[in-house]
Amino acid sequence: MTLSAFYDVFLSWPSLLDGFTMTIMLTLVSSLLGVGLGTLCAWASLQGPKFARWAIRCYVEFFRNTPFLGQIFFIFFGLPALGLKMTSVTAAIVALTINLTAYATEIIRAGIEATPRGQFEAARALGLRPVQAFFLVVVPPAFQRVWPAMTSQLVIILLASALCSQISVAELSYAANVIASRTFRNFEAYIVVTALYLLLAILFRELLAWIGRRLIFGNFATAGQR
Amino acid sequence: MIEFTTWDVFRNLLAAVPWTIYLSLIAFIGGASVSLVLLFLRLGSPRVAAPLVRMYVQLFQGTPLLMQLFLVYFGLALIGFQTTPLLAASLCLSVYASAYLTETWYGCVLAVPASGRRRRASGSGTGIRCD
Repeated sequence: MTLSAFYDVFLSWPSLLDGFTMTIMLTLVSSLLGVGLGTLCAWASLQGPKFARWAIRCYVEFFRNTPFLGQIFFIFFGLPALGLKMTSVTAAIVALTINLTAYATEIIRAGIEATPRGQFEAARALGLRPVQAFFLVVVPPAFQRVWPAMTSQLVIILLASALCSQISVAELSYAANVIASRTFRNFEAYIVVTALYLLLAILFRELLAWIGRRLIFGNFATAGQR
Repeated sequence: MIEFTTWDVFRNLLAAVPWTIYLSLIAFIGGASVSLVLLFLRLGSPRVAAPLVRMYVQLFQGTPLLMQLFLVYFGLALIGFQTTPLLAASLCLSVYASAYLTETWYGCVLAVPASGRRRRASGSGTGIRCD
């Protein structure tokens, strides 16, 4: 392993750059969708009709107890048999979102259950509709409680997006596979890409901590908490 | 032309189930042993070992498992060590699991109040340090 081996890898910097932006895109889109849908599912699983609660319970258990690789293969290779075709990037976003939503539902539900019921009742007594009371009064402190757990889960989603290379989404690990098979510099290609993932994970964690400080803890920080 | 029946598919999948179970067991036993060692290092020497263990956790929690598997498999071959895919997978899964387990268990230990339980344990001569 000499420096010239790394030179071979860095010669293909355009595909590394493309992969880098694709990984960021996949992570950001599925994070936003997953956290949003997770909040809705958590709401439905606590206050929805009995059928909705049961359906969400099944959904969460199913997707938390099957490997992500199996889910992504089923969505990309299995669903076309049922007549639902999509491009690999769409399939990747759908798979990441569905997976993250299942975990986010459980995380946010835990936060909501830790919020005293009296807060919801007080908001109702002040004349807020149930939806308003839920999203304005119950959700903010719930997010505050579970933000560290949510941060870990979002970083796990960033790392899980590496599996999307298996359905030929041109993200970072796909770039590594292409460079490795083109130059036969397997180890060098993977170590460069691994370093890039590490950098991305650290930056993403910092970004989420910043979001937490600015949006989650800042506005709603109540006396005694934090 | 050979026709695959549903039973053929199912039978082949079933034949692969033991490997999933073996790998999970290897990952749990290997990961638990490594993370116990790391946990004691982290608790025992907060100055020297703790930052190193934190870096280890950061490294393995901050990179995808898929990349770690490739790196271990090709990396060991590169330094002249003949590996089998099973050995590389076992090693990698153990290290990956240990990073998560040591972080979880460290949190568990910290959650036990030092003023009470650990001090009483050290007072009754168990050799447990509390500082």
